[in-house]
Amino acid sequence: MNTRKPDAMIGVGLRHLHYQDALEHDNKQLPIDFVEVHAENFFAKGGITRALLNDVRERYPLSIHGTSLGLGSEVDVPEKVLNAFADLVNTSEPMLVSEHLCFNRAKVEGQVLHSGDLLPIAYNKKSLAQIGANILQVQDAIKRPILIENLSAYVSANALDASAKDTMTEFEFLINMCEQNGCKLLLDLNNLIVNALNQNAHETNSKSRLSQDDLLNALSERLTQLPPSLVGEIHLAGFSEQQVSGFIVDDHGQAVSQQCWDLYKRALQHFGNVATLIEWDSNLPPWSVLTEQARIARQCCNAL
Amino acid sequence: MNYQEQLIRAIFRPVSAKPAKTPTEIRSKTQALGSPEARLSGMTDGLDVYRNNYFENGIRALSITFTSVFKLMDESNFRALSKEFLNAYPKTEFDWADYGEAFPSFMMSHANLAQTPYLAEVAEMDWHIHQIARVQDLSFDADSFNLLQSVPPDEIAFKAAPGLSIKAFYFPVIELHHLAHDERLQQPGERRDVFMGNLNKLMHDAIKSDVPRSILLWRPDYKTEMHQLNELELQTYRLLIKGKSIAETFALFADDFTSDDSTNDDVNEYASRGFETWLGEQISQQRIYGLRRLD
Repeated sequence: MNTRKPDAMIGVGLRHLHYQDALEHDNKQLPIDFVEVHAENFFAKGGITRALLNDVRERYPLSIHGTSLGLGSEVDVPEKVLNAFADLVNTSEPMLVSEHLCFNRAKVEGQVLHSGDLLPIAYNKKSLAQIGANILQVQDAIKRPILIENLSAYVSANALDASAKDTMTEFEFLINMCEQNGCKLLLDLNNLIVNALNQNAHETNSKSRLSQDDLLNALSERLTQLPPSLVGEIHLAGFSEQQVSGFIVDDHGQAVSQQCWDLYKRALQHFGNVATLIEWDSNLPPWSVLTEQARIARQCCNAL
Repeated sequence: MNYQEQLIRAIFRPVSAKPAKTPTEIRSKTQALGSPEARLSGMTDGLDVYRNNYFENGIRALSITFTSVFKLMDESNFRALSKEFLNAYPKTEFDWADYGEAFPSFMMSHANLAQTPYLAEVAEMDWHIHQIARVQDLSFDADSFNLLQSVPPDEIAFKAAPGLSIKAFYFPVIELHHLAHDERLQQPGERRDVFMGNLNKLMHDAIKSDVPRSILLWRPDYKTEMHQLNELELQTYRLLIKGKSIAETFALFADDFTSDDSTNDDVNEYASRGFETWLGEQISQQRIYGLRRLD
């Protein structure tokens, strides 16, 4: 049972459309305690983005969320990119720093191609060593632990390459990764739901599909495998109905789904109040709708 | 070939190599899932998600970097062009903001854009504007102008504004940039009619001209500015960018500069105003941020 205090920090993802709205208020006027920005949007050495980040910092505690380091990649993180990331973290002094459990690039015919996406890695010892080395390199550069987010995935390493077998489950991998490298988890509940729905849709026929209750029960049962002390942040999001090749895509293009709120309430029972962020990256709503989502998250925490 | 390379190769596979599935094909495949073979096939269908992400993220990134081109083109044409480019030039940069340097030359050589050759130059202008918007900030160094009192002018050079550079364009890219971004010019009316009349004349002149315009770009605060240079300005800014002493710039004015083109009254009038007037204007326009001693 958790022993956390019931005073979780609640934040929202701050995207370009909302900069002005966010700067017209501050976190004392709104039901939000922090904002998350994508690191790459502030990699420029100068110009308006750095100035904007300084203005945002005066009003809100920050979370810096990297999306391009691809820490599971077999190709190293270039020094220039690592330095840009570290410089941003070291100068903006965020309350949280996070990246993803993914790779994003590979050497093809002599050049490193970069997908600009979050691609799944195999859950085996080789991947664990690879991502561990990169996590330690980043943590050395930023002089603090990082949070690593679980992924929504549309392929498995096994399906593409029989030699890239999973030898542990996703959660076993995450636990080992955290224990070996001193990092923590950014637990994205929407990603768990999207993966479960996609897996269920592609592995079973329509008659044997899980009900929503069964799905939630299965996911909340899985969550109990994670030690509460390893979870440093939770992401909540929704997804669009539009599918690609029969897959639900984790596009963060809707309000937090009802499944996600339900799973969040169950997660809070196990993890206690954890810093929680509302992610909404595409099809952006008015600022007031986004902050209303944060208010609902706070209600969930207060109901604990 | 390992898994990571396989997946990256699959995502970057040229689009024509795999036709898009029809909804019927997707449904029939989904219904047949269940066997190990079907599972494998179903999971590799997930590649479509990553390929779709690559194109959608890429198109969005290009529309941000090449914002004027995006606004001047029909959206479906821009998407088709971007998709071709994303196929031809796989992303090697970490940050989408750094992707697209070859887009202007790609447009220049694209057969479908032969009737709109100015778009490639607008793209080149967009690229420079985008890059300059991201360069390191500088502070105006007012104290450095005291060097004028104590150091000979042949030992002092100008400190330029962030991103200050000269680019050559045949087409009237500044006006085309205005057309793309000035909302008032999107509305029918006299303002637009006058603007378009002038633009058409400039475009006509550009097609006939074999001499490019010289455009100065710089970033005073947060927004990249553009200015078409006359002949004297071009010479002064070439010296400045090369890091030459202010004595050499001063000499341009002292030499009673006259344009090669004797009909170019603007240049002659400009030269007659003298070095001090010129310097004051450059400072007020935030093109010069201070002075520095030459090594």
